[in-house]
Amino acid sequence: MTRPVAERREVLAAEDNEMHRLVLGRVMRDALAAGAPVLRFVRNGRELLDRPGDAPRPDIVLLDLHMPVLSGFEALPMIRADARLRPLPVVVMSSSTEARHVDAAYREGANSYLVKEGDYRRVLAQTGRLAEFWFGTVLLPSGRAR
Amino acid sequence: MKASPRNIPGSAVLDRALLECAREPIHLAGAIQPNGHVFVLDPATGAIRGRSAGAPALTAAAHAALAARQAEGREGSAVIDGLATEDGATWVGTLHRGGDAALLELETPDPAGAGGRALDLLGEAIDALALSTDVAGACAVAAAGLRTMTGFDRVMVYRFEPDWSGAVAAESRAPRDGVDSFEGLRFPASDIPPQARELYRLNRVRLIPDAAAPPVPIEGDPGVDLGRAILRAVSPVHLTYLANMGVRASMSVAITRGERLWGLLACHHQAGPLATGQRARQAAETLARALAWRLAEIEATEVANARDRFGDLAEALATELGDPERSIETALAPLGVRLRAAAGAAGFLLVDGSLRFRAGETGRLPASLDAALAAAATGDGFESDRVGDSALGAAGLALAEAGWCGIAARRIVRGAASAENGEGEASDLWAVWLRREFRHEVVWAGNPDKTLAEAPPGTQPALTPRRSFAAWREEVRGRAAGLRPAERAAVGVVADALRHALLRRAQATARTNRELRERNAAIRFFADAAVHDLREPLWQIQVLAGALREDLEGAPEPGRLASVIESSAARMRGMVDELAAFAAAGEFAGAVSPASLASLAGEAALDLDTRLRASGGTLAIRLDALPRVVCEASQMRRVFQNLLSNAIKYRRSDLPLRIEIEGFVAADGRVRIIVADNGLGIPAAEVERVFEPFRKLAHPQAIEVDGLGLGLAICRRVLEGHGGAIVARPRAVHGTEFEITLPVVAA
Repeated sequence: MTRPVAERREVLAAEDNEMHRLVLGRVMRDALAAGAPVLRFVRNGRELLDRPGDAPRPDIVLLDLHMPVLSGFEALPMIRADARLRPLPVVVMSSSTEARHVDAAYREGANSYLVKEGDYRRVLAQTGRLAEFWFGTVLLPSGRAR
Repeated sequence: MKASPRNIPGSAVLDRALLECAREPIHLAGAIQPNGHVFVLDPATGAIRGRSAGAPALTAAAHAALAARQAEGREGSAVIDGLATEDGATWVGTLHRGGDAALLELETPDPAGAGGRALDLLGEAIDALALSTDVAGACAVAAAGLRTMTGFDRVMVYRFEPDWSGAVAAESRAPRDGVDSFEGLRFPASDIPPQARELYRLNRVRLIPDAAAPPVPIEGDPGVDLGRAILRAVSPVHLTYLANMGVRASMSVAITRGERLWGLLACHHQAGPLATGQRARQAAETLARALAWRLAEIEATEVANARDRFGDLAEALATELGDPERSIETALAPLGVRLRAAAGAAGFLLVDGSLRFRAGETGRLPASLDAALAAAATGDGFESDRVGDSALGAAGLALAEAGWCGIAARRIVRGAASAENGEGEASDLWAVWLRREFRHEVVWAGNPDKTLAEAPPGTQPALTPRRSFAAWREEVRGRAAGLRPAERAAVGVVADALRHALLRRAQATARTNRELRERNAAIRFFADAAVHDLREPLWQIQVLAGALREDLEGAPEPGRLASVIESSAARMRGMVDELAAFAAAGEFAGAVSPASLASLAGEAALDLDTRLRASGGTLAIRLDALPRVVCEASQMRRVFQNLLSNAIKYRRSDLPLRIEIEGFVAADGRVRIIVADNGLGIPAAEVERVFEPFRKLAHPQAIEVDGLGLGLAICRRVLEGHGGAIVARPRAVHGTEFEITLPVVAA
């Protein structure tokens, strides 16, 4: 993490559940402390697609598969069909380990598929690795700072 | 006198003679019998272009009457009464129109009163026919009636068999010496060759008033077609035939049923020539029609009776087959005897690609009977009373060798229907009745084989009528009794009932399948929703309890409580995962692909490595000899996981756990894998129950009893979904052995 604090990363999470948002926030803080990204939320896939053009552009999207209105499976192909959203890395978060869910997520354009860990220590470790990979290891598409 | 079976002398020579006899153009006789005259007329102009030798000239009035009838322009025959000739005679004319030439035949008119008498006698005969209730009775009535009407010495009802040989079904004879009985005799098919039979369609009455009278040639147009002419001269072969029988005059009247020539009313006169007038001939023809009509009625009654008799069998079939849960075999078993009895058969079977049901002594059946039937059948049925000589015999089916001579088969379900249901090959379902040999004697009117004329060596001998009509007995072998109309009706009733019952059965099965599919889909949907809705809050509880525990690090008691919440949530989440796996087990949403079972078992072992080490156990995997198997890898991996997990769970505390996984390809080509442990073992009585869902082995010494008890149920569902199987058995000393079987599908 060599970036200044002023250039904090941004994560957009599509998540309908209030509790879940709470958990995500807490986990990010505990796992990444000062390196924690800015966490913004939309409630479902529809809200993600309908975000206004001048809304802050995230570095990555965390997508829950099971959401009302527009589920992750429904939102993925639409994200990939949207010129503005297409370059965004999408990380699917799910508690399902079933092959058919994993296969479908990748088929529809997910960049990675994350199975939610239960044990708190492991959740923190997983979140650390996630941040390390997307923010410390790979290059992300340019253009956030238009 | 007994003789060897027929057709043995049926050498090529005889066959050729038969063929040549059948080719004789008897309709182009070029001559007429002398009891009348024939004129050949141009069909367009009416000009006379030929006449029988010695025919007198027609008067001008006769010409005018003729022209008027011809001008009507219709085809067919017309009777013209009172045609006069220049010699002063008056005639009854019959004008045959149509074709290349019109024919006018002149015959001597009936004496006055002949018409009334013919009508009276016809009425009496038809009254008697109406009272006869069986085929033999009706035929006897017709024969007697016709003899009274015509005065012939012998009148027979001559019935064509399927091979066109003729059987005498009834006979009426003048009580005179020398008029022998032909009753019960059989006449070979060559006695009435095909072209003669064909002429009966055109001309329903064949009259020979005097076989000894010399024919009169047609002059001017000797090649004219005389097929329609009542006066047509008789073929020399036929004249010899009649002479050999001692017959001087004859008349034959066609009995047709539908399109088929069913038989003849055959009249013989031995005492001398016998003229038969137009009215008597018309009456004879009407009597033949009435007989055909009555025979059809009698048969219809027999058929109706058979339907009544077998109606309750049809009901029983519907009832027994109605429950799709019962196999066809179980359902039909109590009806076997009655099913056979329907066609007087020794054996009954239902057969498609394989044998579905059998009743009675069916013995060893040839393979692919269904395919041979499909090829041989006309419409939806096949019948033969001489199976060895039929298309089935020709197809190489060894039915005759198995002792079967007669077969009656009906197609019950077309293969396409079952193929549409995805039940594999399109193979028809047949109901088949098998009949044994009916060994009997046929009494031929003379030796039917000795009909070749003596001919110089090297020349083709001609077929000549036999000289002796003395009874010649033949023992018929290799033949079953033909199906009687009532039996055929019963076969139809049973076939219809089977079709109906099986259709309803198929509908019921389809309905059940559809309901099951819908219910499965609903359960699947429910499981998905429930699993997700349970997982998420549990995850939240688990993670937040973990966060809380971290926060409470300085406070031991609340921290301990938080960790209890955390681990309870974790355990519950494990159960939900198990439930999800069970719901998905055996269904392949993901792609199947060739996978190495050794690798999958290795991955499973890695997943459980921590628990295995903690238990102090060891694991040996020897699956390298196995081919790659087409499967859904994640599900197959779970099978290994669950088996290993089970072994760890039910290990002995007094013995280091040892798990061995071994695999080989069995003689049947299937992969076999043995997963053996030295744990607590399963009692022999429990080896099947452990695969039931939610069944946990309540072993008092079990170390960990976690989860829902779905592990082995998942294994079984996964393997059955792959066309394989899994069974458990106790090992001789300690522990359990699971045996997995998997088909090797070509990749």
